[in-house]
Amino acid sequence: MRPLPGAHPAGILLAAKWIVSFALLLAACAAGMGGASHAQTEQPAQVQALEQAEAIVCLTGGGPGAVTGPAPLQLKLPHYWDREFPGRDGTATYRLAFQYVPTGHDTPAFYLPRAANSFEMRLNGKLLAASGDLSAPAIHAGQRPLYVPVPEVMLRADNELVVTIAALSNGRGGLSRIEFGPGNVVRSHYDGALWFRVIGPLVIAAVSLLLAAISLLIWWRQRDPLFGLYALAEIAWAVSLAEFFLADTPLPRGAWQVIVLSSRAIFMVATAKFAFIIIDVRARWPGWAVNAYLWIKFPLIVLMASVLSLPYLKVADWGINVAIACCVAGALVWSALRRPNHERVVLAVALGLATALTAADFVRIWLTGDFYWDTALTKYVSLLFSLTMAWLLVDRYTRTTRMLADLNRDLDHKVAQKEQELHRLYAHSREVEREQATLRERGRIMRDMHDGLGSTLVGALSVLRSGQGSPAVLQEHLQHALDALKFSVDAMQDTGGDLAAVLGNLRYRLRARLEAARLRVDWQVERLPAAAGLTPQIVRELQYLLLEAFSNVMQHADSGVVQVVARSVGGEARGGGAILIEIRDDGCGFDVAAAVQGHGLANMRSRAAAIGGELSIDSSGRGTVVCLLLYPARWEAGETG
Amino acid sequence: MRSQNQSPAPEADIRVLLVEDDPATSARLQSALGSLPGIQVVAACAQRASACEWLDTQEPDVLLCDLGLPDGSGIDVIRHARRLHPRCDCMVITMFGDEANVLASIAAGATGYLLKDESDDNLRAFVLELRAGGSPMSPVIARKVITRLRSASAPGLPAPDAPGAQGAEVTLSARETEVLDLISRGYTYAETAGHLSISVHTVQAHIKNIYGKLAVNSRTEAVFEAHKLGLLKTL
Repeated sequence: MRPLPGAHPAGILLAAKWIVSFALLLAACAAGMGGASHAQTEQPAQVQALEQAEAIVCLTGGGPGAVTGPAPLQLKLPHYWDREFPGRDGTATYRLAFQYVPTGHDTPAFYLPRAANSFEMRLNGKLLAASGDLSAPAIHAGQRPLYVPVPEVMLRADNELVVTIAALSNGRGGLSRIEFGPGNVVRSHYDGALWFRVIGPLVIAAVSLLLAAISLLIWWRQRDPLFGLYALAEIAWAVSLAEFFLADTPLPRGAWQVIVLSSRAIFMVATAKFAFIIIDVRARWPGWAVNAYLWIKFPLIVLMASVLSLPYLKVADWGINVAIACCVAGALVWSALRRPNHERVVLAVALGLATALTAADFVRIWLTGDFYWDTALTKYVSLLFSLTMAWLLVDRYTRTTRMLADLNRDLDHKVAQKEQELHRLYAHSREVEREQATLRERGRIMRDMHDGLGSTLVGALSVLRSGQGSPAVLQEHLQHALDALKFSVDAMQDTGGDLAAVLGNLRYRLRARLEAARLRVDWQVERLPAAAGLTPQIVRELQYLLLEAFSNVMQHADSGVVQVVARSVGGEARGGGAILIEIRDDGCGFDVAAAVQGHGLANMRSRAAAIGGELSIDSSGRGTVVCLLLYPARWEAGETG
Repeated sequence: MRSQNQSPAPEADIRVLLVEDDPATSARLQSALGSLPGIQVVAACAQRASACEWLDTQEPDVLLCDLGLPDGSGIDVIRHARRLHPRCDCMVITMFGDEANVLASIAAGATGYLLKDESDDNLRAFVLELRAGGSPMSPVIARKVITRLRSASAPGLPAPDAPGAQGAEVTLSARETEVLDLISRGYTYAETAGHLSISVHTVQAHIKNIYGKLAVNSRTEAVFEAHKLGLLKTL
């Protein structure tokens, strides 16, 4: 009888605080480490720890080392079934003697950290408590701590407690040491253990599943492997925790064990891969190592879950776990040191803490002999990773969002800038274009002045200088000069691409001259399609050409009627249509071949060619036909002018 | 195009007010018009202000007005004359190729125009024709009028006869569009009349109407613009 090591109150603290926050977890961890030594001094003296027991073990199923007969053993609790009889099922009956001194304060009670897998408890020959079927216990049953109040009437000064258990192999069966004392004190120990071993894992599993669901949803929409791995890790961990709060499962016990152990392996692998992505591991070997770990681990798990549950298999299992942890930790620390950023440092710190906690657990468990790791903090270590991973994800998400916003702003800015540049460029090119157009137009007008008005005035001047020109000749010269000027001005009128209006205006200007020549005009100008490319230059060329034709009729043809026909030919299509202009007289005609120079025909041809038209002149004794075919589509395409 | 002067023999001479700032042109026009029987140049002004002053007290039969006056535009004089003397015919004296200004003058109320380089014979014919109700119309101006008074129908084609279809906007009737279309293609008034099987008089009446529509249109446009600018509170 001695005061109990009091890890359990610290456990309560731990369970609560670890869930609350990461920082408190660290503090609580330290408290957990030192808790045992402090607690011993504060332990109330009324509580007895029942450790010495006389046990009768009965193994079922035969096999080596079977203890069949009632050969009592003296042993010290706790009695770990899996350590004493690995791979075997069986029952054991423990007899414990203790004394009772009534205090009158409180109802006495028993606290049993473990009586697994099913048990029956008799005090002084009377049944006190029982759980499960002794002949067919449930796997993982009896993992919960037990609190058994004792009616004072059942107690004597010297008492005998008989506990019978039925244990399954790999079921963490056995009997822990038993506490007996005042109800309120014992109850607090019981509560601490319940929180630490059952409720804590349950809460963590629930939180893990919730986080996993959120993460899975994000992964489903975004296919970001980080979220997928995180969800996988959380689910795996929640499953692996199930053994702490699920007493019975619908699955065969081997399969259940495989699932629990596999999910732990999957948690490790998912965490490792998550870490590799975060730290941006470029080397191949960490990935291979993790895959190899999975390939080794699965057969091992199956082996361990089967009957061949041997201690050295467990050692191998742990060895592999430690190896992969070291491998991942090495990669993390290496990258954190070589290319430090806060993500890598945080991961490395989390891993370092986890490693430290696990190592501390090892040492502590080794010192206290807690074979079933009931007091181990390791089951909470994953919380460290979960929180770290969650924080990293949130951090990345926020950074990405912020980056996106920055990028958008930047893009907007750039687009605005480009737009401005384009506007400037456009304005500049417009300016250049306008200048060029002005220059072109100026050149055209100057040429026009020289060719038309200038040459006529020069002619008039030379007639005047020669002294031979009669006033009539001079008047004719000047009239021509004025006409040339009028045509130049007319060519600049905007007629909206209406060739008919150009022809109409030509007739309007020639009206006086035609009347003077006593030429009757048979005018047949039809409505013509608008020619978008009709520039002043084209109009001017056309005027010169037609003027030449009219002059020929007036001066040489000796004709009474001039017929002018204009109509569109060659289909309705805008692009393919041509415009036909015919000037026909009934005069004496001339030899087209011989009179090229004299009638300015070469001039007419070159002007027709300049505006992309086709000129044909047909002359006979009955008259002359000047036929001009124009293609407005060519003007629009910019082939002429 | 220059049809026979059909006006009844005038009892009195046609009283002409000449507004022209170029002394040479003024002198030429005065002598050319003054020498003609039936036409009397009653005054010659060289400035917008003096012309308006003269118009305030007297009424001419015909106003011959240059556009580029030293103290303003001849268009103002025309507007002034039209307001004071609705029976007065206004003619613009213009250089060839100044169709834009001619249109503006018509919009201000002018009913004809005179080219500075016309022969003296033509000058007289024009003035008499104008008094008789005829108005000149060159192909280029016809083209521009079609564009300006474009009706709702397809451009260049006879418009449906639906006056006032667009509220206050003045549109050309189908027949008017036809007349303008033919003239813009170089047909004379007589040929136009033949094409449309109407008399030359009717053609001239159409032209006169078109002149009026241009003036009305310009007024409604001005009112519309003024309304838009908030110069008028109510229409």
